[in-house]
Amino acid sequence: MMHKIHFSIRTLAFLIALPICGNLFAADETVLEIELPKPLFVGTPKPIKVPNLEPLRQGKRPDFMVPEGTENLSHGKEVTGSDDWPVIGELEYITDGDKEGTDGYFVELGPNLQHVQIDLETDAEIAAVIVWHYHASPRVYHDVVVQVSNDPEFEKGVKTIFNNDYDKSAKMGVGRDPAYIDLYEGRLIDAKGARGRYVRLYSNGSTADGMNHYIEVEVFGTQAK
Amino acid sequence: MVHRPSELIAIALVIGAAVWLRFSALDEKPLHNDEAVQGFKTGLLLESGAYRYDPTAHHGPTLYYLDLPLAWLRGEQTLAQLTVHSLRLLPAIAGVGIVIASLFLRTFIGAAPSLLAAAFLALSPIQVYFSRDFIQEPLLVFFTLVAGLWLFVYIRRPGLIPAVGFGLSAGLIHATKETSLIIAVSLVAACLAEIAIDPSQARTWWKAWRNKHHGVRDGFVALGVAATVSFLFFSSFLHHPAGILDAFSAYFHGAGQSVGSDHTKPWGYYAGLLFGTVQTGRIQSEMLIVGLSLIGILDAFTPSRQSGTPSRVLRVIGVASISQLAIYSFIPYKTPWLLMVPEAGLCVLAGAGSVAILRILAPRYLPAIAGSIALGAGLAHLGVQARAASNRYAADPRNPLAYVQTVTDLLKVPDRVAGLASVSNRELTIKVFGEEYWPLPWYLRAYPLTGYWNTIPATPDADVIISTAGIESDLEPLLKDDYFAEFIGLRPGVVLIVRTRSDLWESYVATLE
Repeated sequence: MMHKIHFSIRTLAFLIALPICGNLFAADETVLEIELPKPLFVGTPKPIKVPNLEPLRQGKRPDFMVPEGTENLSHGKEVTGSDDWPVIGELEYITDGDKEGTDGYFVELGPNLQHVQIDLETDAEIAAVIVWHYHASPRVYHDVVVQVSNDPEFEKGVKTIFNNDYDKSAKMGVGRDPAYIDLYEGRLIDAKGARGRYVRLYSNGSTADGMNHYIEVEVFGTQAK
Repeated sequence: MVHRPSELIAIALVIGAAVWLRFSALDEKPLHNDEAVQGFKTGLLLESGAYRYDPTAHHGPTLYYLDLPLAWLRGEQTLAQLTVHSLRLLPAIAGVGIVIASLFLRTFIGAAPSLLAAAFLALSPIQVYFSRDFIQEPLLVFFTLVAGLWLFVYIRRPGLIPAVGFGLSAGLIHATKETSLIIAVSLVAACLAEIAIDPSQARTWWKAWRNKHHGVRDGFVALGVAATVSFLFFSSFLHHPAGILDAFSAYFHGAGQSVGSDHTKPWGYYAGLLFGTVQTGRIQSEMLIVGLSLIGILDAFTPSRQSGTPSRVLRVIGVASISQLAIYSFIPYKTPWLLMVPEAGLCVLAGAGSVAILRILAPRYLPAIAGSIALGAGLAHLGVQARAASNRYAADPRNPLAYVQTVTDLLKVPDRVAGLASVSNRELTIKVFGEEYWPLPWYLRAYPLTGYWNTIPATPDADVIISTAGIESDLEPLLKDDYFAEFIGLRPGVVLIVRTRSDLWESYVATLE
C-alpha cells in the first residue's frame, strides 16, 4: 500500500515538475522570425484531405519556437549542387535572401534526382530549415530529402531531417514525411537540433515539370558548443 | 543532278541533322492528349481492322492507316502492343521526307536556295517539334510539298506521270486533314496572283496546255486519282462508304469548332510564336527564318528577276504561305501545330532569301565571309533551339510549342500501375474519375478492368483510383477502404491524386530496392 502511495507521490511530483521544466526551457526559446515573399498564386485552392499529403493550411503558419540566439546561418554561404551548370539562374541565388517567386529569383537544375548543398562554414546545431522551391504556381516537388552532416561527401554521419520519398526512388529509404504543395511561406522543416556543417537538399522534379527549382534555403540554428 | 562532292557532303549533313533531331529519344515525351486519342484509334484499327471516319471530332484517316505498316514491321498486332515509338516514327519519317523533298526544289529554285531551304526545314524548332508528335501536320506538309513538286514538274513538262503524281498527293492531302481546304485556297490565290503578275506568260502556257492533245485527259486523271485515293481512305477502303460524304460534312463541323472554343486566341498568336520568347533562360525564336523569307519574297518580286522560273516558283510559295498565315490568323481557333504548314513555306523562302543576301555580299571578300559565318551561326542556333525545345523542354509548360502538353510526371502512372500489377495476385481494378483524364486511356490500355467516370459512382473503391484534385471532396467520404495517395501531374495546372489500396501499396513498396 505504502509502495503504491509512494509511487503516486512520485508521479504527481513528476507531473507538476514537467510544465515547470517546460517553462524553464521555454524561457530560452523565441519565435522564429521568417521574412516572407509576396504570395503569387491567388484563389482558394480546394481543400484536399488525403493521407500522406499535407493539407493546404488556411491562414498563417503557426509560430515555430527556436532557442534564443538562433540565426540564419546560411545567408550568403557557398552553395554547390549536382548540376554545376544550371540553365537558369545561379546556385548563389539559394542563399541570397531573395525569395520572390518570379523569374530572376530561382535557379533551375536539370531533371531527375538533383541536390544542392550549403556549407554553413561551422559545426552548427540546426533548429529549422526552410526551403522555397517555386511558388509562382501550385506544384508538388517529389522526393524532397533534407540531410545534415559534417562530411561534405555525405558518406558518414548523415542525419536525415526530412524525407517524403515514399517509393524509394531517391534510393535513400522510404520517407514518412508528407508531400506538400509549395507556397510562398516555404516549407519549414523541424531539424530538431541536428548537428552538422553541411545541409543537403534533394528533389526529383515536380508535378509541373521534370526540373528542380530552388528560390531560397534558410538554415536557422546556432553554432554548436 | 548533284555533281559536286561539297554539295553531296552538305546534303548528307542536312539530312543527318534532320534524322538526329527527329528520331532521337522519340518516346521520352509523354503523349499529348490528342496524340493519345489518335494512338488509341490506331491501336483499335491495328487490332480489329475497325475504323470509321468521324467528321465531328477527328481528322482524316491517313495518319492511322499509314502507321499500320510501321507497327507490323515492329511486330505489334494489338492496341496493348502498340508503342509510342511506333506511333511517332511516322511523323518523324514524314519530317525527314519534307527535308528530302525540299532538295528536289533544286530544279525549280536553284541548288543553293534548295539546299538552304532543306537546312531551315531540318533545323526549324517548329518543324522538328511537331515532326515528333503523332499528329497530321507532318504528313500534311510532306504531301503538300510533294504535290507542289509534281505541279511544278507538270507546268514545266506536262504529262501523265506528273498528273498522276499530283493527283495522288492531292488525294492524300485531302484525306489527311480538313485544313487541306486552306492549302487549296492558298494555292489557288497564289496561282491567280501569278497570273495577274505575268499574264502573258500565263496566256502562253494556257494555250500550249489547251492545244496539247492530252491536256484535258491529264486534268481528269489528276482529279480521278485524287478522288479515288481520298475516297478509299475516307470509306475505310470501302468498308464504310458513308465516310465519303462525311469527308465533306467535316468542313461544316470544322467551321463550328473554329469559334468559341478553348483554343480561341487573338489574331497575332502565330506572329508571336514566330517572333519567339525568352523562356527557360534561352531564346526560342524563328525570326531568322521570317526575316530571310521576307527577303526571299522581295527578291522574287524584284522586277529584274521576274522573268525566271525560280522567281515564279518562289512567288507561288510566298503568296501561298502568306495567305495561309493570314487565314490561320483570322480563324479564332488556333493551335501551334497549325503553323507547321505555312512555316514550311517560309523555310523555303528563307533559303532563297539567304542566297539573295550572299549574292549581294559576294563581290567583296570580307562581307561575303562574314555573311556566310552569320548564316551558319544562325542555322546552328536554330538547331540548338530545336534540340532543346524537343528534348529537355519538350514537355515543359514554358515551352511555347508544348501546348497543353502532358507533363513528364504522368509517366509515373504506367510505371506505378505496372509495378502494382506485378505484385497483385489478380487483375487490377482501376477507376478513373473526372473529366480530364486523357492520355490515361492510352497508358492504361493493357489493363482490361479499367473504367472511366465523369462523375463519382456510388461505390468508387478499387485497387487503384485516379481522380483530379477538384473532385476530391466528393470522393473522400465515399471510400470505404484505406489507400496510400500520391500527387502526380497531368497537365499544367491539373494534378491527379492516385490512390492505391494500402495492402497492395505495402506489397509493392516491399519489392522496391
